Amino acid sequence: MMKFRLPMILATMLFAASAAHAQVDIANPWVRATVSEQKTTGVFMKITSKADAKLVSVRTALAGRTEIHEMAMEGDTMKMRQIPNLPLPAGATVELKPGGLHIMLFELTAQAKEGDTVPLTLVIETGGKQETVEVSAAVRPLKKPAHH
Amino acid sequence: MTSRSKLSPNRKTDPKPSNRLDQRYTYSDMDHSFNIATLRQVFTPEAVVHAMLGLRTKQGRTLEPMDPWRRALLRACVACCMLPMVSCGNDGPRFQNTDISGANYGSDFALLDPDGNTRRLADFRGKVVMLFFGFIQCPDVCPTSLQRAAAVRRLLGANGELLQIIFVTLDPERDSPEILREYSAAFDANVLGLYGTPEQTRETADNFRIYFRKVPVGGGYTIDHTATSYIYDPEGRLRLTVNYQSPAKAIAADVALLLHSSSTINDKEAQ
Repeated sequence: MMKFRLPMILATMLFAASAAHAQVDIANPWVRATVSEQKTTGVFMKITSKADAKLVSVRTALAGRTEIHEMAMEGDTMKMRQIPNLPLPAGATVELKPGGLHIMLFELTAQAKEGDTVPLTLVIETGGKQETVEVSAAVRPLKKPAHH
Repeated sequence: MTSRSKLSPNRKTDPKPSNRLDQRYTYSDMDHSFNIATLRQVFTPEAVVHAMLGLRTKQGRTLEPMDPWRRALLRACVACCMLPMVSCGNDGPRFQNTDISGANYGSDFALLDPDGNTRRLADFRGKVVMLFFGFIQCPDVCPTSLQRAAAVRRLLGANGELLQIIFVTLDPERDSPEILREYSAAFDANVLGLYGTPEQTRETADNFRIYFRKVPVGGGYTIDHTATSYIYDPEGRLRLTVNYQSPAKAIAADVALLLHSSSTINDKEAQ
C-alpha cells in the first residue's frame, strides 16, 4: 500500500499545481458572419475552467476593440451591457450564446465570412495570475439558426 | 402551488386517506378537489365557449352569465367552429401568438427602403406583413429575429411568397442603406430593411409602441429596445404581436391562418 501512496500524492500535487494555472476548456467557439460594411459582430463559445477563474479580455486581429457583454430581456425589452470580466467558477461550463453572454467585436478590420476561422486570444485570470488561451473560432452564416 | 406542496407529504404519510379526504378538502382550494360539482363550477358552458372561441375578456373581467338562448347560440357557434378543427387536424381557429386585432396603434409608417423609395404599409396589401425593429450592431436578438422570420417563410412553403418581412432599423446613424440592404438579404431575399431620419425613427417607434433608448457601452453605444414583432393581415390590419421567444412554427401557423381567412373572404367576394 505504502509503495503506491507516495507517487499518488505526488501525482495529485502535480495535478493540483497545474490546475492552479488556467486549465480552461473551450468548446464550440464561433463568430457570427458579417456583411461587408458591418463593423461589429459577436463571438460565442462554451468555457469550462477547472479552477475558479475569470475571463478578463479577448484579443483578435479581426477587431480593433473587444468587450464582454451580457444580454438580458426585461419583459419585451432587450438590453445589452458591458461587464468588466466574466467569472468562470471551477468546474462549471459558462456558455456564451445568442440571447445571453457574448464577446463583442468592434471596429472590424475585415468581413467575417462563412467558412473562415478567426484566431482569438482569451486572457484568463486565475488567482491573480493572467494566462492566455488561443482559440480558433469558426465563422457561422447569418442565415442559419445559431444552434441545432 | 404552495398549498399543494404542503399537502402532498401529508397525503403520503396519511394512514387512512379515504376517511379524511372529505374533511381535508372541504376548505381547500378548487384545484385540490376533483369532484364533479367543482368541475361543473369551473367548466361552465360559458367558460368552455369562452376558451374555445378565444373570446377575450376586457381587463380581466370575468364573463357574465348568459341567458339560455344566447348560450344555445354560442354552443351552435362552437359546434360550427369545431367542424373545421376536426377536418383540418391541429389547425384550430385560435392564434398561437397574441391577438391584438383592433389595436389603435401601429397602423402605418412612411420610411425609406435602401433604394431611397418611400414605403408604406399599403404597399404590401395582399400579403401578410411581419414587422420588427432592431439595429444591426445588435449581435443577439436582431439576427435571431431575422433568422426566425426567414424560417417562418421557409415553413410556409409556396405561401412564403405571401409573407413580407420588414426590419426597421432603430440606428439609422450607423445602419446605412447599404448595410441595411446587404444585412437583410443575408437572411432572406424577402427581408426588406427600412430606415428614416432619427426623428422619423423615433416617431415611427412611438407610433408602434416600441421602446428604444441609446445606452453608452465601452467606446460606443448599444440600443435597448422592444423585441416584439408585429403581424398584419393581407388587408393591412394589425392582428398579432409576437414575443421574441415565440417559435417559427407557431408564427408560420398564424400567418397561414391569416392568409387562409383572407383568401376565404376574397373567394366569397368574388362569387
